[in-house]
Amino acid sequence: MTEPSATSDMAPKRYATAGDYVQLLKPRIMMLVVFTAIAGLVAAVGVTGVLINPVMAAIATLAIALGSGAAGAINMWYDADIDQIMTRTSTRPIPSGAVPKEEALAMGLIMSGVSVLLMWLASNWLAAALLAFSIFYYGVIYTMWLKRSTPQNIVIGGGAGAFPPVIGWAAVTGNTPVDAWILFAIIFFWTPPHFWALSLLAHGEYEKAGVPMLPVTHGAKATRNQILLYTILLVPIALLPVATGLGGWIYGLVTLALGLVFLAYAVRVWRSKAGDAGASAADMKLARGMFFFSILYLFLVFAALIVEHAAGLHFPVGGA
Amino acid sequence: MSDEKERYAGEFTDAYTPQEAELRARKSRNLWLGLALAGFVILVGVVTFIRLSSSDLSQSGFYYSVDDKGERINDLPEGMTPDQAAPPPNLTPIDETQPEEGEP
Repeated sequence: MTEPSATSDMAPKRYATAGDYVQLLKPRIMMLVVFTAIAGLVAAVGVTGVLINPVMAAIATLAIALGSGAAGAINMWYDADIDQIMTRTSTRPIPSGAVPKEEALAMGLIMSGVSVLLMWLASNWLAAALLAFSIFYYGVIYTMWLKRSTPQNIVIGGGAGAFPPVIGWAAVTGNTPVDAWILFAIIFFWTPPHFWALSLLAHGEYEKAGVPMLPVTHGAKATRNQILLYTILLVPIALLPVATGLGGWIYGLVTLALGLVFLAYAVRVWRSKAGDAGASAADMKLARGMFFFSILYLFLVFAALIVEHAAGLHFPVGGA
Repeated sequence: MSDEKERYAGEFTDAYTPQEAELRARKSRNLWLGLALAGFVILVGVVTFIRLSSSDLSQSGFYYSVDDKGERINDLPEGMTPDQAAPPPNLTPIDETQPEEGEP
């Protein structure tokens, strides 16, 4: 059952370690998911004053982490064929021959069930239902349908990654007010510039694997236009929490400063030839810089929200 | 016995003998699987304990009830302390319309 899979003819035979199974869970994505979920959870407590048992909050967060890992395992099971084509993903546990595809699927399905059940036990049915839907969104809607069928794959699919703060909020209050959906919108509009900056660097790989990423189907220039457009939309959306009172002065100033830097990156990438055949090393470095800055941006925006509500530093703008 | 061996020779492959590396990997995976299952059982146990210990069912006074927001409403009758499980049979509610002793 745990023999190396049939794909092992492309890689030396080896046996799966615990680390291979951890890799199936996409731990780096899981960290961002958990962080944004905690932000939603802490903000919900800060805004509504509803208290949650800390142990229950920790278990709810664990459930979100497990759900993220489950979706990652299902994604790796389905994408094993294209992962072995792309250099960046060819060393993943399934294409490297360490973990059989069927085991990854079984792991994903079992962890999905466990995570939803834990969430339901630790919080409420709404948070559990949202978690179940987000796993379905990533594992089925994005991975099995959108990713290989439309260049808008990561735009619509970005919804899957945007759910964690809403789930965190629902785990505390049992409902999802506008503030929770604003946090959803921030991640949703952040996703396209984040992923397209990466795809400008790796569009050759996507083309080889037949994945219709925007730079493959519409070219690098159209992608740079879209990156700029979504960044222009993201900057004011990220400031919406200030208007609703969810974010205070600290959040507002941090998000404004980060947004301006993000916008400056987007403008510079838009003016560059990043992703084009004749792109210079500096152009590609710029796209890479934007990709890494986008991660820092999301981390700091949500960190500001956590700091305000967890450390009692929430001072609403206008004293609202 | 040896006749049987000769008779079926070539029809059945030898039993699979896992290599040491594979056995080690299998043992390690089983250990992690066992720990994960144990962790799940513990988590469910902890959640159940917290839910039950904070449940209204475990409170001594069943006169507590909750409103539509889940907030506890203390609707104990006058003269009854919260730790009483039920009103004593001889409890007579205070008639607030009647003046207390010493009052006009």
